[in-house]
Amino acid sequence: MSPLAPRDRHLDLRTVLDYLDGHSDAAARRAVDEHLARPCADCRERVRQTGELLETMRLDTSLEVPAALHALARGAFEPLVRPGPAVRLVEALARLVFDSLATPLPAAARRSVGEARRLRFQLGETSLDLELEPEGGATQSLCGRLETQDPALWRLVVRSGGERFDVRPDAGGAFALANLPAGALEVSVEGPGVLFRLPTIAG
Amino acid sequence: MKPAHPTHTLDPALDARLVARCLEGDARAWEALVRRHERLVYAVARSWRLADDDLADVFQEVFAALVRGLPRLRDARTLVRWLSSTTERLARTTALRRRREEGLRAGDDTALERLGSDEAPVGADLELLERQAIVRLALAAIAERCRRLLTALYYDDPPPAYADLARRLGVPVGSLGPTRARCMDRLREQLAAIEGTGITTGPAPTSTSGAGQRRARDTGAGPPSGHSGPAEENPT
Repeated sequence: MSPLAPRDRHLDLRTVLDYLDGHSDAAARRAVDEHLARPCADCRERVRQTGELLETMRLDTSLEVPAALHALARGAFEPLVRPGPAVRLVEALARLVFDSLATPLPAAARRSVGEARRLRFQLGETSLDLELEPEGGATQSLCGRLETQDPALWRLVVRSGGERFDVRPDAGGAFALANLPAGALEVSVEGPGVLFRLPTIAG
Repeated sequence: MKPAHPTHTLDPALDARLVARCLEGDARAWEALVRRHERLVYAVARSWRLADDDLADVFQEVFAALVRGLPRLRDARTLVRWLSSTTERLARTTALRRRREEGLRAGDDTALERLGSDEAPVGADLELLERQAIVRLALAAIAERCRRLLTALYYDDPPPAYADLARRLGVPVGSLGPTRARCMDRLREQLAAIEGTGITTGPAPTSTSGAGQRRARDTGAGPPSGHSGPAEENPT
């Protein structure tokens, strides 16, 4: 089968995005125009749909909700079914399955992730990836991802230098804390009905 | 952060699970539900240029009504529809009441007549705000690296130069183009899952010739075709 001439090939998403974002050079732009003018109904539709999506994003000027309003919304919750008596969280110990300090990464991987220390813990069926990086001076940052079905229902509590920091993962499980005091970290992870304590992460 | 095993699955049932947990009395699920949808409520209410106190009242009323409406509102699209229309109705009622009160106080006899035209110079394009809310829900469900890239490219105003963005993300400039396309594909998959449409998200067909060409379908980003959700809860 002979290869198709460029103008006969459908536009891939990268080409469409370059075209819509104005990143195509004159020749690439002309090629797209020629292809669309064949006419190619599929690619016209692809360009139209992608353009609509980009426009929807670009026109979005919505703002973060102020904390006071968020508190009002949170306070509106009146459970239709009252929860039973408070159930004590089941406590469990998270298991360390990887620590780049103990198992140095290959040089190529180190170049990719920099000097950050990476750890992975198993929390029952859930896993937690952490990346710990000195910020210079007396602080450090901690970011990571919780791999679980509903990460927004979980919370991490980090204790460092006598201070306590709470963070909730986003819908994708990602979270980040900056400006933590340098030194050892005590981390606990609380999910529906369960509390995992991580072994102390030495500074 | 580059997770060791970045796994992201389509999760169109997230709102349904959160609602189910709310109905069981789980306040954390309510918190998560509020975080997912409060931005839309705020955007619609703000478009009516309400005073801060009125805006807060409307915001609170909408979520109080949502608590009562939960048993009927179980998926993202229905929730978005219901929230935007309920907020619009409450904000509009509040705005009109204020105008009437101010007109009466000022002895403006035409205030009520002008209200009778039922025409407001403010208010939002609800369909646009709903689409934006759904795109943000989809964006929240893709990998953080992708989310940061797409947010910078399509939400930042002005968008950063590629060189600056590559530096910020810690990736080579040359990788931005291909990464952007992959991330956009992930976003479109999430949109399709939320909208419940079978959009074309895979690579483009390889040839324009042939009888079995695949037709591109709705991205899910376009305006929904009609209000099919449950009747609005009247919180008053």
